[in-house]
Amino acid sequence: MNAMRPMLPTPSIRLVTLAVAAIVALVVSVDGASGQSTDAARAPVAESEARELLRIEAAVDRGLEYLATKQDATGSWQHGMAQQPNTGINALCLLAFMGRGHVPGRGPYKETVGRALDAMIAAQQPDGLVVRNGGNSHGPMYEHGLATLALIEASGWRTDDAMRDTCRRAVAVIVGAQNNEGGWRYQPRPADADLSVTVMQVVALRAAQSARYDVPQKTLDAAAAYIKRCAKPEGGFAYQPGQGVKNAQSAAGALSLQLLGLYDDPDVAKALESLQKRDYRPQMDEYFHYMNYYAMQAHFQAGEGPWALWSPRVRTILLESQNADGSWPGWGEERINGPAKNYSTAMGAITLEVYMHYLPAYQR
Amino acid sequence: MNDLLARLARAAGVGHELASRIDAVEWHWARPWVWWGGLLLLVPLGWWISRRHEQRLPWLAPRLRRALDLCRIGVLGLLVFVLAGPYLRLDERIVQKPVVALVVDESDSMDLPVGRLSTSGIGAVAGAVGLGGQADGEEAAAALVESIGRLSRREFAEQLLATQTDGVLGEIGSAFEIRRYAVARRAARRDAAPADTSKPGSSDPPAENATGGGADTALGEGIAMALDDASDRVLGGIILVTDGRSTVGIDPLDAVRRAAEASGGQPRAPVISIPIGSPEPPADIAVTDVLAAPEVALDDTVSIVATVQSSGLARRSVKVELVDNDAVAATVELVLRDGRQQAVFPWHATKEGTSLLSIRVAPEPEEGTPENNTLEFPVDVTSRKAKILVVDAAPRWDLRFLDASIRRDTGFEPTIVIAGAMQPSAAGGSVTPEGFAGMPDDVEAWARYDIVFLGDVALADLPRARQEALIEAVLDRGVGLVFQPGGEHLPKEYAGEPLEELFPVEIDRSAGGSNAAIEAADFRPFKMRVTARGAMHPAFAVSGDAGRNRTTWSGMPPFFRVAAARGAKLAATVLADVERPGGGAGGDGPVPLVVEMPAGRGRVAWIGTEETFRWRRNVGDALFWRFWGQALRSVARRNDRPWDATWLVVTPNRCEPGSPVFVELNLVDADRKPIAVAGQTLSIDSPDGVGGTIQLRGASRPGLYHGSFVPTVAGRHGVTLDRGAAGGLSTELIVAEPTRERAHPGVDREMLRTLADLTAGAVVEAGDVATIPGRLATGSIETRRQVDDDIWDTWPVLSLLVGLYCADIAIRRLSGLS
Repeated sequence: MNAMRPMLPTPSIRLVTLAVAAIVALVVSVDGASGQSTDAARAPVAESEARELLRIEAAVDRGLEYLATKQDATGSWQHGMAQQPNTGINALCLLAFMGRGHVPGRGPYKETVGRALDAMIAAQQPDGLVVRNGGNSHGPMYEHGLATLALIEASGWRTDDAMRDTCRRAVAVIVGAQNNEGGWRYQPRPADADLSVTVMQVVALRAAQSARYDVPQKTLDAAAAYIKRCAKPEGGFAYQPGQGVKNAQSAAGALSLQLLGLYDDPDVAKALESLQKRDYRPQMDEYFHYMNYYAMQAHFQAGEGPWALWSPRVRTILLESQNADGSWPGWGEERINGPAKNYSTAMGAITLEVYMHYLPAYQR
Repeated sequence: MNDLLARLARAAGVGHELASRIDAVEWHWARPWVWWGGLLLLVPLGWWISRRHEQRLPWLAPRLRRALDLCRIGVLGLLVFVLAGPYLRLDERIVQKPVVALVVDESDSMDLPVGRLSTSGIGAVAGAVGLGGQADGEEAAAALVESIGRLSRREFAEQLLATQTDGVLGEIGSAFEIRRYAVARRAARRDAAPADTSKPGSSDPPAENATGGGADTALGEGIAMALDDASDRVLGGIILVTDGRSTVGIDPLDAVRRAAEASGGQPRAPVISIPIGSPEPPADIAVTDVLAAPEVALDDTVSIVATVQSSGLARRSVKVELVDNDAVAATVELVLRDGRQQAVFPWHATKEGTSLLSIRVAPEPEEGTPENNTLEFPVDVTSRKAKILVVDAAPRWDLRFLDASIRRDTGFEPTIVIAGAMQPSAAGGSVTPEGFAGMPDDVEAWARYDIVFLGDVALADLPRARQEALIEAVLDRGVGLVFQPGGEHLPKEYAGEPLEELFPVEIDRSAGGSNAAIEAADFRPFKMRVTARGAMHPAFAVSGDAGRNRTTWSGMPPFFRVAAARGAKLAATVLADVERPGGGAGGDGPVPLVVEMPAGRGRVAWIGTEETFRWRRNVGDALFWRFWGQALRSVARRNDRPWDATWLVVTPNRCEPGSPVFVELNLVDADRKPIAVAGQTLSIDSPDGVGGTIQLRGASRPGLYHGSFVPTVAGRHGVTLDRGAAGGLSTELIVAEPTRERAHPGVDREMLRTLADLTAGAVVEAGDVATIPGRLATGSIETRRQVDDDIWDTWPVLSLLVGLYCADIAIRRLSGLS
């Protein structure tokens, strides 16, 4: 009996009602869909930690965006006052991408990572040394140690025989360059040694061992003996035996011993304690990024307690100091690495990426 | 008067809706010109009818003639009335008040004490909760703080709401429509939805006991429900009465973010929280988490890592104890600092079977929640050690992490081989494990292992004869086989090879070009989704609650490549999958990711991604190994569960009420032959005495039966198969209430403040509730409603017409007219 009258304006009312209902239905369905996806997005960690982790990931992502824009057509990054490519810096940038899970052949940075890896492989000299300038730089073993580490990590994704041979030859250079004390120095031949170069070779060798490359145990044992000689009784490590304690070397020495399996060595605990007593700030070491990188890894290796003590300090400084363009300031290391912020940005990203636990070389 | 009119209108056939609003109803004509024209015409017509009757029927008595006139004129009048189309119209403007959602936390954490509030403003708080105490002077204020602090949060919230019914809530109710919600494990509407008068009886009934118990707080779900319910209304605000900790379901921050995205970036409504509980973290020690291998080897010493969270007791030294069978097995001393700390215990497994262990910290005198100082967990001790052969073509990242983890787990005796490294290259050097004679060539060699893990192994390393020997070892000797395909060799090189029959999935060879893998778009990576069955599988069962397990694993970081599987084979069970790119436009469903399948005497598993390393993110190391350790164990050859014996297993064997468990039964006769029928019925003994039965259906192999059930009460449950003369076969399930709600007794003000920041809302302490009405968004929706009802086709009009007609006939008959 109820009937809308056709000559009255009811049809338009009816249309409006239908339109409103359709819009309401649309809004409701959109909300419903979003509810499902958010439910699936919960992480198993406490909310505040999850939020902090999101901040870290966002900062790393901004850093990687910066690095991606700075890569040149050859797959390299500029470095030093002369703005020349350097395989050490390239390796750090490559590790920064892989440490966030941007591995070769996968994801949005696969071209960036692929170009960097190609450039690294192409830089290998006939003798196995991975440096671009024929090994004539001041410290080719710095470059080679970092490059070997990056190559070995990348070999988990580029698995052809050529890649395996590249890595094997790079590892052989390190094994062959160890001096009779068990350490390494700038040049790829046994001579004198220092802890700074040695730690880079140790990290690369441990990565190689984890990837099942042939690394003689006696090489690792000798390296451990040399590093222990750099330890100071009062806590911390020196650049070379007999010298004074340096913060960067304390971090590097502690991590080296941990990676060599000496987690419970008293020199490790003493070195970390000596670091924790310092006033943590960028001026605490002339190589702050270098120290940060090793100290963060060493505290992660040391377990939950030291990690909980150390990581918030590093996180706070790095999150607060990141530039608007995603880069990190050099804090004085520009005198070595030049005005380009590729080194500092890669180091900032790698340091924060300890939270990700992705790089196999640093698994605990 | 209106009632009388309404009754008359209803009696006259007017519709219910119009009759009930008869005072607002107007009379209208559809064709008014017919009415007025008809009336004008009726005057000369009436005169003409009357004149005609006078001329033609002069012998008729004048009274009868006038009656006949009236009948004829009346019929014409009714015709005009009907043609004019009279109708009634109800034309009203409806002003809908904005909605305010009142979301009240009813979870178990609300049973915790309020704790110590600040003395400043305590008088206002007391007034707000109806205690009405005087806070003049320090002593009086301290007494109020003391008495309010002893209230439970639930009592505090109830008293606050009861006191404010005529106060703040009354004020809000006069300008807003208040909708009430409760949140605990689920969210539920606590009041009936407003009746829709156009659809009588369409309103929802009140939700009773719909929140599923207080073991969790689904705060985000409550917010999302309030937002959804008010999607067609102005939402003046959401008032949360809670201690702020959301433990399940949608993240509250995500709920408001999504709503803002749907509203063009603007907050949908201010969220105003009334935090219930002291701003000071209570003095508390809680054992919040224990990481322990669920299965350990007999005589092995393993590490058990307990997470202890404390507040308000910094620098206090406490003893954290690992308790095994009421005896302290190990003690760790901790100097507390506010936050989370870990204690690592060595534990020596001396007795085979399930050991119920616990971590406990003796309560400190100041603690108000001593029940969260202890956490129980079961560990299965077994004398089995699984020998595992891991073969891969390259040191993939997953393999490197698996390598390290598998060596630490004493339940495994691993042999790890990089097949590519076994072929000496031009550069020299090859690495093979000590004592490893090379890839197994015959059945005996394969059968020396309980599990074989095949990564991206090249076909060159697994020629046809080796494959056939491996297949026989799996089918006849019960060797477990795990595939973790990669992009280079497996599965793409195995098309038509014998090993393909053991793949638990059908490979889509049309996908992925040369690598038989599906790539995700660069910015739309794959997200793993654990299936309902997967949530009960030991590999994914990190807690006793299947819903939480699914949420946990579905929240794992996304990845970019998955082996190209079209679907699972008939006998296989999909434990996790990913959405197929393009949504499966070709009719294919999701891509199976983690799949398990029985194969002869053995079992086979398929892990369709080589990016499980991503699960290690932040605190995920333990989850990574939890998954792999249990995935490997679940396929390992087990002497205690051979296919030629009868056994009954419930997984997980410890869960929370409301979480489903999976039941697997293998049934053989006296000759060890499988008993294959359509299904089996098991009985369940539950602690509440209700019991019940569970139907198992025949699974993929004869004699194997699967089913599931959901325990609803806490306590030990028995699951029994009555085999008549052969006796009963039973197993036990422990159902325990979760302790999550009490693990973090502090009020999560940080989360409430973030909610307020995101929504232009506020965190309002109980003493300041009077400010809430001023913080709500105003605005109303005005709608116009027109309802028309014809009245020319009602029974009175018809009766009048029939009456006039009958009267006309009667007069004619009485007068002797035809």
